[in-house]
Amino acid sequence: MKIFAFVLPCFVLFAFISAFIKKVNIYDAFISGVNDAIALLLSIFPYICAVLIMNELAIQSGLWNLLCKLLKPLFSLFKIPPELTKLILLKPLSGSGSLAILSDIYKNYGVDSYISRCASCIFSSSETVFYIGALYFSKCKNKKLTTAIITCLLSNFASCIFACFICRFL
Amino acid sequence: MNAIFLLFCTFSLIFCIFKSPETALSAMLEGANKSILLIFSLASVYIVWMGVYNLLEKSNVTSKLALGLKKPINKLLKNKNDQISKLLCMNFACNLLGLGGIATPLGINACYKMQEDNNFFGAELLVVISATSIQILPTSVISIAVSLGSKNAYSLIFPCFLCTVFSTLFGVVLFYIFKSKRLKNKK
Repeated sequence: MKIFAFVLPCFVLFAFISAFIKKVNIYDAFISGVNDAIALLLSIFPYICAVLIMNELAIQSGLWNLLCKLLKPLFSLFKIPPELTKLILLKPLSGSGSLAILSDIYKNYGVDSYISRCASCIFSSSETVFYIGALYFSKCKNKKLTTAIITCLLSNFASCIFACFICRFL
Repeated sequence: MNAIFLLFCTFSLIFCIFKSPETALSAMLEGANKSILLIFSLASVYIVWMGVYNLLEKSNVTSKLALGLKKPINKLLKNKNDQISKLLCMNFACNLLGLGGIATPLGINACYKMQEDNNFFGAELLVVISATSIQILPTSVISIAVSLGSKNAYSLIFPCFLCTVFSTLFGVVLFYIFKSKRLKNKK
C-alpha cells in the first residue's frame, strides 16, 4: 500500500511541471480551477442537505429498522447471513454509518471470519447510491433518476448475493 | 429524485409521529448538520483537485491521459463530444483508483454537459457506473481490517475486486435492458 503514498504527490508534481513546460500561466489556471470548485460546491450544497436530511429521517424514525426486519426472510432466501442485513441496507444511505457497522462486524465476529469477509466485499462493491445520484445530477435540469437508482440498488443487491457466494470458496 | 424524496420523507415522518414525535426535528437538524460538516470536508478536496485538474487541462495533458480509455467509454456512454470524454476519462480513472472525492466534481460536470448535449442515456449510465463502485483496490476496507489485527487482509483484494466487477457489469447490463424495453414501449 505504500506505493500509493507516492502516486498522488508525483501526480500533482507532474501537473505543475507539464503546465510549466506548456507555458501555462500556472497561478491563474489554478485560481480559475478553485473558482470553479467554489461555484460547484455552492450548487451542490442544497442537494447534499436534502439527501442527508432524508437519510437521517429514515434511519432515526425507525423506518430503516422495519425494512431490515421485513427484508430478512428475503435475504436468508438468497443465503445472505442475517448479520449482514443492516450493513447491506445502510450502505446505499450513509457512507460513514455503514463504515461504523462494518467495524462493528469486524469486532464482533473476528476480522478473518466468513461474515467479515462477506461484509468487506459488500462494503467495497457498493456505494452511497442516493447521494451519488443526487450529486451527479445536481447541475442538470432534468432530474429523472428513477431508472438509474433502481438499477443501482438491484445490482448492489445482486453483488451482495454474489459476495456471500464467492466468500465460501475464497 | 422527487418521488424518492417524497416517499422516504413521508413514511419516515409518519413513523416518527407514531413512535416518538420528538425525534423528527432532531433527526432533520442532525442531517443538516452532517451536510454542513460534509460540505466543508468536500470543499477542501474539490478546491485542491479542481485547481490541479485545471492545470492539467490547460496544458493539454488530460486529452493525452484520456486516449486509452476514450474509445470504450465513448461507446459505452454513447458520447461524441471530445470535451466531455476528457472529463469522463478522468472521472473513471479517479474512481478506479478509489479517489471518489476527486471523481465527483468531474462527474457532476460531465453529467451536466452530457445533458446539454441531449445525451440523457450517458448521464444516467454514468450515475449507475459510479454508484455501483468501480474501485480496483478496496483501500478503506483493508486499512480497517489491518488496524483491527487481520492476518490476511490482503487476501480480501481478490474477492472484493470480483464483487465490484460483478456489480458494475450487472448494473450496466440491467440498465441497457431497462432502456431498450422503454424504447420498445415508446415505439
